[in-house]
Amino acid sequence: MAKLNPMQIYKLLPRTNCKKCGMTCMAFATRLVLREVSLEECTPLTEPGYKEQLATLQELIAPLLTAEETGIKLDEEICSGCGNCVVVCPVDAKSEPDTAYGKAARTSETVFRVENGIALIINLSKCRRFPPDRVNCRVCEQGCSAGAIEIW
Amino acid sequence: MKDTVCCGCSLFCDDVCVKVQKTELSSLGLCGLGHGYYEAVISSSRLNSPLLRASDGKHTPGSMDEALDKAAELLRRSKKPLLFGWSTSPNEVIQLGLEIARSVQGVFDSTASLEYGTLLQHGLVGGEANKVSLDEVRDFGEHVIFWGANPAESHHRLASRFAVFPMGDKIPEGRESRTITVVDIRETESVRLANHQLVLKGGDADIEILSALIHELEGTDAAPPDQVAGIPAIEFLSLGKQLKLADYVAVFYGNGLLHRPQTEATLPLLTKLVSTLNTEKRRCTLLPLIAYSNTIGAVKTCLAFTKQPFAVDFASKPPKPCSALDNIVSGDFDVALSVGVDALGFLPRPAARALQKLPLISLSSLPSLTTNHARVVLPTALTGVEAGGTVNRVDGETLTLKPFQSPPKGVLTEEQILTQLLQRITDSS
Ligand code: SF4
Ligand code: SF4
Ligand code: SF4
Ligand code: SF4
Repeated sequence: MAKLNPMQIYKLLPRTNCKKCGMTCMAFATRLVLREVSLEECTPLTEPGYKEQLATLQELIAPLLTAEETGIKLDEEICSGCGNCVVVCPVDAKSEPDTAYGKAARTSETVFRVENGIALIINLSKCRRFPPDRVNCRVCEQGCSAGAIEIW
Repeated sequence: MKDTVCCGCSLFCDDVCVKVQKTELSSLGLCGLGHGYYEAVISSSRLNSPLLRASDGKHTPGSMDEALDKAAELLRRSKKPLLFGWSTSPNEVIQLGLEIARSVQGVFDSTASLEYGTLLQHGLVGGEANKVSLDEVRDFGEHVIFWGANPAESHHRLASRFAVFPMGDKIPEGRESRTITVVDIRETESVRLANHQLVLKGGDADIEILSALIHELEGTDAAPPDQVAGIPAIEFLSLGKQLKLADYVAVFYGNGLLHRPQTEATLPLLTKLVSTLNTEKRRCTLLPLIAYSNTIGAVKTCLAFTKQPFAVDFASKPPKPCSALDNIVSGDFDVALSVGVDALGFLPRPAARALQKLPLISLSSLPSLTTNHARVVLPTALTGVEAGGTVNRVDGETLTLKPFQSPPKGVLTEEQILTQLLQRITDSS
């Protein structure tokens, strides 16, 4: 599947935060990558001046509609233990709600947990990319500024 | 597992735990830097006996009494001793350092004089914009700017705990509810976190972009230039627009802005940007990202004791501010005490070179350049693990460190060592 990150999408949106889609442009970009919203919901894109951006966006999201095989890899060599992945993973937020507010994961219920200064994937099967959810989530990869997480 | 407060950097993360078993250390929640800090507990190179330099120049182990006597004697006989370091020590230790400095009429200075001095000079501390807690940024920081700061590599957990990713009171969706801007002259790891990635070009780039942004925020009819400091107009105009929309803007800045030839010009502009953004409907805050863990504690404790933030000469009454660094370089001191920080590794080269020639007394847990050159080495307990006390986070928040195990045999806490040193000095006078 093509690698697509919300920032790529965000840059092509009108970036006015007009909220006609019900959220901010950044939120819309993230949801679009997750396939939780559709491009048509950003109505300003049909206004004059956005023609090229709209076409590029349509091209970019086309591959999303056919997600199949998937996996996540975490390179422990370059992980800084920053905990960004722990905090952004929606599964972690459900399993250990404090993590969504920035706290370290301390239970064994999360997908990610930082141990001995390095993040480990301790519950891969809970990741939303796998059945039953099968959503095109990439927020951990996106939040890892060290570039230690790779999703395919 | 024991709950602990990490002393690995100025964030003092207090949501972490560790377990130490003889030669094994395990932790949950600590970043790589923090885990590395705790590794000193099991390190085989840990200093565990006082060292005295013999006449042949070699270090030989001595008793604690011997080492303390020698250190007290050096300080007492000195005409002008320097007491340096402090910013990794708890406030109680810093307080003792100030008391010793007073009784030997020496000069007290901390690493803050380098890290913090410029900020004070430019009025970047103490104002309303600077009274901000990291928790406030987590809860309200709708637009967060990192200017010449690279927390992804210096304060690993700042983004996840406070500034970028967590949800908060007015930040219902975490990362998606925030706009992040990173301004730097390099494409740092932090740049990857940003919506607005401003990688500037040219020596005066910070000045140009700050001026352009202020201009834009103040409102102007003039057509914008095509680009500023390598940033296309459309980029910084959209940044300006986003800033105007935000109810809360938190600005962090770091070494990329502080230790540059243009600093004198950029800091006033940064202050101006912040005051322009501070309106009736919008709060804008400004915090420096300081590296040494308890720099803020060192400044606060020194202020309370002397009304000066750092660099105080107790030879005058009342003690007066001085420039300890210049004094070092011009060879004014005849003895130096270094506490916690590796003074020889930290100071700019000319100062380090001058300091190296003096009889040094070094308090440290691990070997360093300073202990290598020291006349007397006093091994210390590890702060936060074997020694407790009070510290201040980078935003000023007070935290209490609770020791959870005792130091190795023959090793005392900084507090115990300095108490005994002070006793010896005052007893004999
Ligand atoms: S409708 Fe389009 S322009 Fe408006 S906020 Fe949503 S994504 Fe942004
Ligand atoms: S891809 Fe999986 S592991 Fe990563 S954030 Fe999404 S759900 Fe969590
Ligand atoms: S976000 Fe990346 S660098 Fe940070 S802890 Fe997770 S894997 Fe490691
Ligand atoms: S961010 Fe700083 S205080 Fe927090 S765990 Fe890492 S080194 Fe320790």
